[in-house]
Amino acid sequence: MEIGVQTKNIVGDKAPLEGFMMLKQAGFSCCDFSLNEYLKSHGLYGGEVNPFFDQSVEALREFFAPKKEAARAAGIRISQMHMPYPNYVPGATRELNDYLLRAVAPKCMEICAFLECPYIVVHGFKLSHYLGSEAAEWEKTLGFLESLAPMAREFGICICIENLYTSIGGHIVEGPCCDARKAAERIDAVNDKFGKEVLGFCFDTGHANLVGCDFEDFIVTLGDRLKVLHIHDNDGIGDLHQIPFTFARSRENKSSTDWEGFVRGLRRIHFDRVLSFETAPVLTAFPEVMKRDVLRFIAEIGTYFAGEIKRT
Amino acid sequence: MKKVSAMAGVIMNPEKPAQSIRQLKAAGILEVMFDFGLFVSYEWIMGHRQQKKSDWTPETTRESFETAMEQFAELGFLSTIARLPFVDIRSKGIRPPQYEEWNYLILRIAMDCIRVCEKIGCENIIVQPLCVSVERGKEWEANRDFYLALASACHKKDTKILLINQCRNQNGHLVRGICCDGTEASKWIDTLNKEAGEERFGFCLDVGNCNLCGQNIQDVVTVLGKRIQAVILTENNGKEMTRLLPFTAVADRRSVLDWLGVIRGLREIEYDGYLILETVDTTVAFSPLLQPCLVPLYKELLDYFAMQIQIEQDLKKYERVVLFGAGNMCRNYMKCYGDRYPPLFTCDNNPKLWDTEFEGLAVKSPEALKELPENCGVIICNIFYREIEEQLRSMGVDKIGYFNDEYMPSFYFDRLKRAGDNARG
Repeated sequence: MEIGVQTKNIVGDKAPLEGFMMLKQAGFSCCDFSLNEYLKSHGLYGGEVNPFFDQSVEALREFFAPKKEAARAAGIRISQMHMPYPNYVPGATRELNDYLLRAVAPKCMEICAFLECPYIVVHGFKLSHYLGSEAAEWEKTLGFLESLAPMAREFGICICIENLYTSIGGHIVEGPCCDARKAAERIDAVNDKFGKEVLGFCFDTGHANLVGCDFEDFIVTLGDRLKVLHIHDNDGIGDLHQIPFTFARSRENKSSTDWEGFVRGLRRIHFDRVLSFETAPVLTAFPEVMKRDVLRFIAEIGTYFAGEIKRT
Repeated sequence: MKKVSAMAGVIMNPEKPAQSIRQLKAAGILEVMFDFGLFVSYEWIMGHRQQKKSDWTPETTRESFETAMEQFAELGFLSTIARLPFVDIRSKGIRPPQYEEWNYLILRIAMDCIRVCEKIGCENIIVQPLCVSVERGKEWEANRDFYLALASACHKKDTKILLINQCRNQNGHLVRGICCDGTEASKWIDTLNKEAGEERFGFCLDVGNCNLCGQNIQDVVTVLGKRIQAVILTENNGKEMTRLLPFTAVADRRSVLDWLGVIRGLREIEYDGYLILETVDTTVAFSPLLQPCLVPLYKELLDYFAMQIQIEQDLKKYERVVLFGAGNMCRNYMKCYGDRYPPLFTCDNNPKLWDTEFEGLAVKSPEALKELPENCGVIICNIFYREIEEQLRSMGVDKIGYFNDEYMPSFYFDRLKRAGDNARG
C-alpha cells in the first residue's frame, strides 16, 4: 500500500523538483496533484475567473511538463488529482457555467492524461436546494460526468465522485454523494453504459465525519468502487483538513473521529490502493521550518494505517 | 394530522398536571406525548444497583406513571402516543459485561409501560432501539429479539411500536447510529412486521437527531415513506443534543436545521401522522413565570408546520381554485403548482391590477369571488393571511386555503418578469 499527500503548499511552479523531493524524503511515494489550485473555488463563487484555462491544451501540457518531469525524477507517482471546483455555480451566468463545463473540465482531463494520473476527483453539483431533490441534482451531475466519460474511456482515467457537504446557516450537512448505496448503484450504471470503469469514488474522511457517516458501512458498501481517498480530520464542526487523531471532544481524550471504523472498512474491502492525505492546511498552520517534520509525521500515520489495514 | 406537544417542559409537574393541562387546553393543545422517561430512568436504577443501595422495584415506577395517567384521564387529557424511557446515548460506563442486565431491565420496564398504554388506549408507543448496550455489528440481532418480545407483549390489534432514529456517541461526537439510515430502518420495520405477522411496527422520525448527524432529511423521509407515523419537531445547533424551539438555533439570521428538507419530504409522502413539538430545553430556560406564555406559540408552531406540510393536500381538496394575490407568491404558485392545479384567475385588492394579466392569469377584483363555481377554493397567495381571510369570510366565501412560498418544491435561478414589474409580496 502506498502513501500520498496533496501537492498544495509543497510543490510550487518555480522549483517543482524541490517539492517532490521533500515528499519523497518524508516517506511518500505518491501525490494528489492539486490542479484545483489553478482555478480557485472562492473566486468562482464570486464570479471571478482567472485566465489559466484559456490556454490551449498544448500550452497547458508545456506548462505542466516540468512538474511531470520533476515528479518522475523524485520518484513520486501522481496517483490522483483534483479537478477545480465547483463545475457549476448556481445563479452564475450561463457563460461562466459553459466555460467550466465545456472548457475547464475537458482540459483537466487532458492534463490528467498528460500527467499519467489514473484518477481525477470531481465534485458533484450542489443543486438540491434549487431543484427540489437529491435525485434531480444527481441528474445534472450525471450529465456532466457523462460528457467527460468518453474522454475518461479514451485516456484510461477513472473519474471519482466525492462525498461532499453543504451548509445551512453555517451548520454543515450532507451534500452530493453522501449516500454510499446510491453512489454504488450510480457508479455501476455509468460504467455499464460506457463499458469501462470510467467512474469510481473518492471517500473523504473529513467530510464523512462532518455529517456523521458511519465510515465502516460507507467503505464496505462502496467496496472496489472506492478508488481514492482524502484522509484528513476535523472536530466534526468545521472542514479543517487536519492530521488524523487530532481531535477529542470528551474528557477521556479519545479521537472523536472513527478511525477504527475507517481501518476496519478498508480492511474488509482489502483496500490496496493509495492512502492519500488531504492535509494541506496543516502545512500553513505549522511553522514553515517544521514542514518536513510535519510531512514525515503524516507519512508515518499513513504507514500506521497501512499496517493496521493489512493486519488480519 | 395529530398535533401534540412533548410532555417534558409543558407539564411542569407530572404528578400534579392539572394546571399545565388547563394552560395547554386554553391554547388549543389537546394532547401531549406521554413520556415515561419522566418517571423512570435506567441510569438512576443501574447507578443505585451498582452502589448496592437500590430500593427500586418495578412496582415503584409502575405506580407513579399509572397514577399520572389516571390523573390525565380524569382531566380528559388522554394521550394516544407515548414514549418509553430512553437510555441517554451519552451515558458512560456501560460495558459489555453489563449489557445483559441493562437489556433485561429495559425490556422489563418497556413491557410494563406497554401494558399501561394498552390499558388506557394509548396506541402509539415510541421505543428506542437497544443501542448503548449492544455490541457493534450485532445491533440487528439484539433489536430483532427485543422488538419481537415487545410485540408479543401487545394484546391490542391497534397498538403500534414505533422505532426511532438514534445517534451514536463517538467519544463526544454524535454521529449516525441505529435507524439513522432510512433504507436500513425501513428494512428493519418491514422485517419485524413480517416476523410479527402483523403491521405492528412503524417509525418515529426525530428531526433533531437527523440534524445532529447532518443528514439529508428530505431523503430520509422519502425513503421511510408511509412507515413514518410520528415526527418529533425539535431543533439543536447541530452539535449538542438539546431540544430547542424550532427556528431558535440560529446563525446568520436563519435556523441551522434543514426545515426545507423536512417539509419537502413530508409533503412528498403526504404525511398525515403525529406532529410532536419538543422544546424542553427552550421552555425550562425561561422563568417558570414566563413558561405559560410560550404555550400559545407552541400551538401556532404546530399549526404552521401542519399548514406547510399540507399545502399540496389542501389544493387537492378542491375541483378548481382561484388565487388571491397577484404578486411574488402568486408567481411562485404558478411556477411550482400552476400546471398541476391551474387557477381559474387571480384577484387582488389593488384596483390598478384589475383587468391586467399576470403569469397567464386574469387579475380580477375580489368581487369576482362572489360568482365562483361549485367546490372552488380560494387560495390566499399573500402574506396578510388573516386580514384576507376575514375579508373573504365577510364576502361569504368559506372555501379558503393558504399558499406559502417559504418552502417551495424547487427554487428557480431566473425570476419571472412582467412588464413594468411592480410585483408586491
